[in-house]
Amino acid sequence: MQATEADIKETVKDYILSEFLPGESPDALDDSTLLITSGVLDSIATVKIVSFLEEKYGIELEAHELSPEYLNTLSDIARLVTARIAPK
Amino acid sequence: MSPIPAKADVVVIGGGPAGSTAANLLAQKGYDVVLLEKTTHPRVTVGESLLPHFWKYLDALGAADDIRDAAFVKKSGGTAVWRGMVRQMRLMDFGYSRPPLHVERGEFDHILLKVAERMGVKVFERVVARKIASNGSQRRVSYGNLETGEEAEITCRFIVDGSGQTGVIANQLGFREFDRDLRFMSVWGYFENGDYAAQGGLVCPMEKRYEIPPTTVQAGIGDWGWCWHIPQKESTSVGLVLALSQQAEFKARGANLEERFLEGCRRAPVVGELLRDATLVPDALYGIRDFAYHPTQLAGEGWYLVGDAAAFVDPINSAGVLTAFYTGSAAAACVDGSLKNESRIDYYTKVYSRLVRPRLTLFRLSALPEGQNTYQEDYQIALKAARLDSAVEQELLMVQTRLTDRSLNLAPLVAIDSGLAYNTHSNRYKENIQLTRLDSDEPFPAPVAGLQSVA
Ligand SMILES: Cc1cc2nc3c(=O)[nH]c(=O)nc-3n(C[C@H](O)[C@H](O)[C@H](O)COP(=O)(O)OP(=O)(O)OC[C@H]3O[C@@H](n4cnc5c(N)ncnc54)[C@H](O)[C@@H]3O)c2cc1C
Repeated sequence: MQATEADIKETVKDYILSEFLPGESPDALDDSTLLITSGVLDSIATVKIVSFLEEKYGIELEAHELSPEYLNTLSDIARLVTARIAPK
Repeated sequence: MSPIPAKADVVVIGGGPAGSTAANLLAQKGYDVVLLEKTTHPRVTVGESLLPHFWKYLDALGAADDIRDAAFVKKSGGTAVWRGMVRQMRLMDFGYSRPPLHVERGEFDHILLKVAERMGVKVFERVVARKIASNGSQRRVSYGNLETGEEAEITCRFIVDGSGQTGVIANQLGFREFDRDLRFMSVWGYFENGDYAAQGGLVCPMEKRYEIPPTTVQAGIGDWGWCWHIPQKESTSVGLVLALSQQAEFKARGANLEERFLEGCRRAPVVGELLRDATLVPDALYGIRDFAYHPTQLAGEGWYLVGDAAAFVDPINSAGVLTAFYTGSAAAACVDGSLKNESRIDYYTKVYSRLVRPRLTLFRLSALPEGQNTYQEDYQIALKAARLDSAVEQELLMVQTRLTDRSLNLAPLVAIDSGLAYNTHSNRYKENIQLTRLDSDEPFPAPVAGLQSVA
């Protein structure tokens, strides 16, 4: 079964909390929290998130997609991943 | 010392902050990492003023407690003396909870290397990396063991070059370009006693440094030159950065390097006065020249350039060690990704260049004297890094460049993207600071208006 946007958001949220915000309450992040521009994720964290997404969902992203345009909120990330795993 | 292995997953060249960072993070991921260092730590190196965001890297390295326990001098911010005006900023105002530091780099770098070893890195000192070679998915690093005279090779899958200004790979492959806009030399030394500048323009004697935290002082000394004053545990590091046009004059003034250096320090506004009662530590003067350069390529077939081995610009914004941490961490993430999924090696090479090239370009723009950028395309490139910084980091960079009259270099970025925090008027710095001495009525002479010359 294919992951829905809601599943993806949940999975990525767990990953971000455990990897980059240890000890932080889950309430600290919602779908529209600005991850990059507010400093939750630095640019190296974006590399790790993309590696995580690639491994988890068997997709391949492109180097130029490591930007706030695609990764600034959980919603952005879920949209990017869904578009990539959608059957062509 | 155990024998140097013939094989490893990753070979890291150089045990400065960049090399230690990459090696440490990869060892934490479980890879077999060998680090070769030409000298024996602690070794002398420059670059002693650290901005507060370095703590997040220390957390990742597992080195935060070790560095805290070393009790380096905490700094509170910066004092700039430019065109006869004193400006100050306080780093706490930017919301950082842990302090920026003034570190003895010999000790600081040694701690980082020991922590890397604790994380499982196999460290070999007095071993000089000579050349790299590639054959399919295999790399080789040839080295000379300075202890035994042995010459041998290590076979590995990735090489991270953190050899600093030496630039083993960039030089072997002919990738290093010197920056024609930034041709500097620097001379630095250490002074005992004397005074330092704290917040609010307070001038304090050195013995107060643990009670009233010092600022890093930067003073313009004519043309593009400037001078730093960095109080540390035992002494104060003072350095002159001289533009090409100032070097002949500098050399003409004084019979030897020590005399020229002392004369240069004495003439630097504010710094000269802070050093009035200080004494130079003998036999500890150092120099470096033409240190601004960048590579045509940052990563390639199984290799990554990190820290100064990749690039360096003018140190005016104290970004060198941070860049070493940044590039070391980015290279570790990319090598890890590549080792996990070999089909993505090219992707990670690209990712690394996409992250690092804009960052270096942004630093270069923010270090150049105003209006001196000859590469117009740099604005578009730097924008990519600027957008990945948090709003606070953006504001900090803007304030730093304001202090030393370089902020107009960031204006073209704002013209392209008005969302950047480089255009907000920041109240996180102050101008026209009056310097006054702690517990004394003796006035502190105001800096002379207009540019000062070392000559
Ligand atoms: C004048 C001046 C002032 C500066 N001021 C500041 C400042 O205030 N704040 C700041 O953050 N930065 C500052 N910097 C920058 C800072 O010094 C550097 O960016 C930083 O040291 C880079 O770290 P690194 O690990 O890349 O290189 P390094 O610290 O230079 O380490 C490189 C290591 O590689 C080893 N090595 C070299 N060749 C080989 C080889 N062939 N085989 C094995 N090992 C080798 C060397 O022995 C060395 O230990 C300043 C720089 C200059 C020039």
